[in-house]
Amino acid sequence: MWWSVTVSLLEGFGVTCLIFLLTLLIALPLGLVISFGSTSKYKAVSYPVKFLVWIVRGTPLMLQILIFFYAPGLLFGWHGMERFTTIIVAFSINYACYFSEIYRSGFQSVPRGQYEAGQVLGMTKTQIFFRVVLFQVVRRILPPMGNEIITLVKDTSLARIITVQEILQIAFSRYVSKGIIWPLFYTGAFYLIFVGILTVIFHFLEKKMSYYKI
Amino acid sequence: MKKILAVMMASATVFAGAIGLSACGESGDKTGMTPKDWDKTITVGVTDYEPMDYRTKSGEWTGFDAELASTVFNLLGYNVKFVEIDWETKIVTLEAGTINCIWNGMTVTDELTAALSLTDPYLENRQYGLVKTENQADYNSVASLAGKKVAYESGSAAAGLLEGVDCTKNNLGTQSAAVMEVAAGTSDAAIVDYTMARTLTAEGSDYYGRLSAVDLGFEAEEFAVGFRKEDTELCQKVNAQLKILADNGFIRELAKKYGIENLLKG
Repeated sequence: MWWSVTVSLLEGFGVTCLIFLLTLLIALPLGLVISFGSTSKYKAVSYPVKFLVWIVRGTPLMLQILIFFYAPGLLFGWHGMERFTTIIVAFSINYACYFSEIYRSGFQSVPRGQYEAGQVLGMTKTQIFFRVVLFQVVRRILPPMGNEIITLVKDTSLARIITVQEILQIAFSRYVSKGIIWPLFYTGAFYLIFVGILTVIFHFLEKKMSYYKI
Repeated sequence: MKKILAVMMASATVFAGAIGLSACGESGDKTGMTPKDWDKTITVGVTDYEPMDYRTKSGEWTGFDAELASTVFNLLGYNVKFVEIDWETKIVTLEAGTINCIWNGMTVTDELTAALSLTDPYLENRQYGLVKTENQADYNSVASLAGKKVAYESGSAAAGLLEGVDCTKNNLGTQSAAVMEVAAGTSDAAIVDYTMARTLTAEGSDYYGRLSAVDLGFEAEEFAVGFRKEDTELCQKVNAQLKILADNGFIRELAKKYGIENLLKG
């Protein structure tokens, strides 16, 4: 029993990890693009982007998943996306919006003087961005990023609403529904260990980055 | 680094302790709550499942099972309260003491017989397929489900029937969600109780004309009421009352009212 539960939970945990990794892979750069959009000096760009961020942060992720998955078919009779694709799209957009606000706070916390110093030294805008600003931003946004990424680990469980076979869905449909509750605790252990590892990694990164402390 | 490790170890210990405690709890008395302790109120676990249990516009629970449950328990001198449960975790919910019984068009399975005290069956049921009307002709047997995307409710009788069928299985939280998947085109077919298939495709209902019920040749099943294993006394009382109501024609009248008289036993 213990072994077969471990095997099926691992199978689900693979899907959980895949959702986690793909979301990060798409949302981290996409968030950067969105943060550039929302801080753009052109109102035609910044207003729509800010509106998008407001919509995405203002509604539950679960609702967004349900709309992405069911609305195309029910509203227009279209053949929508596959379950897993839907999850990746919904998660990526949602997390990119949260990340964009973290990036924005990072950029805005770099004092003007840093840009000016770069200009005095004759650096171009690109050079200033990559050689002066970027590392300071990374150091500052690490703690809030860590927070958000840990939340993402647990949010992957929302995928079960459209029956993606992630770890919690498997624990539920294969064991809890038959009156066996302990695999839920076991499932919790998977999340705990995953988050534990992430915590250690972020702690390590923050230590490394404190090298740049002024 | 060391500190973090220490904290993680400590939390792991607490966690292991919690598992240990929950394991100990299993051997003892489950709840210690008999219906009497609850001021003679029976809490019935239901799901939104037309025509058995569903809400009226004002939010009151009604339906064939809801009316039958109220009648039986009132005759036995109890008040009745309906609580919406997650069908997937119905056994855990019952054993945890949140509800006293499950009365919700529950199909008898070996698993339920082993876990619960069940009354004698009071209705006969059959699983039907629900598909888009334009695809109706493609579905006439269990074999025609092969290679299709099939939606059903987790922990329902359909889950057992689909075992061994070579199709993509989408286990949803409720039967209504499974039907909605077909309407949205995200699944090809839904396997639901005949009662539900008939109600949803009847003239004037939400899916009339869009979805059709198809007989895939699943074998007949039976509906029963479930209690906790140790509540045999209450189970027998309800059983006796159900027999009286069947003999005096009450159940027949009620079935006619909800359009399911062809599910009556015998």
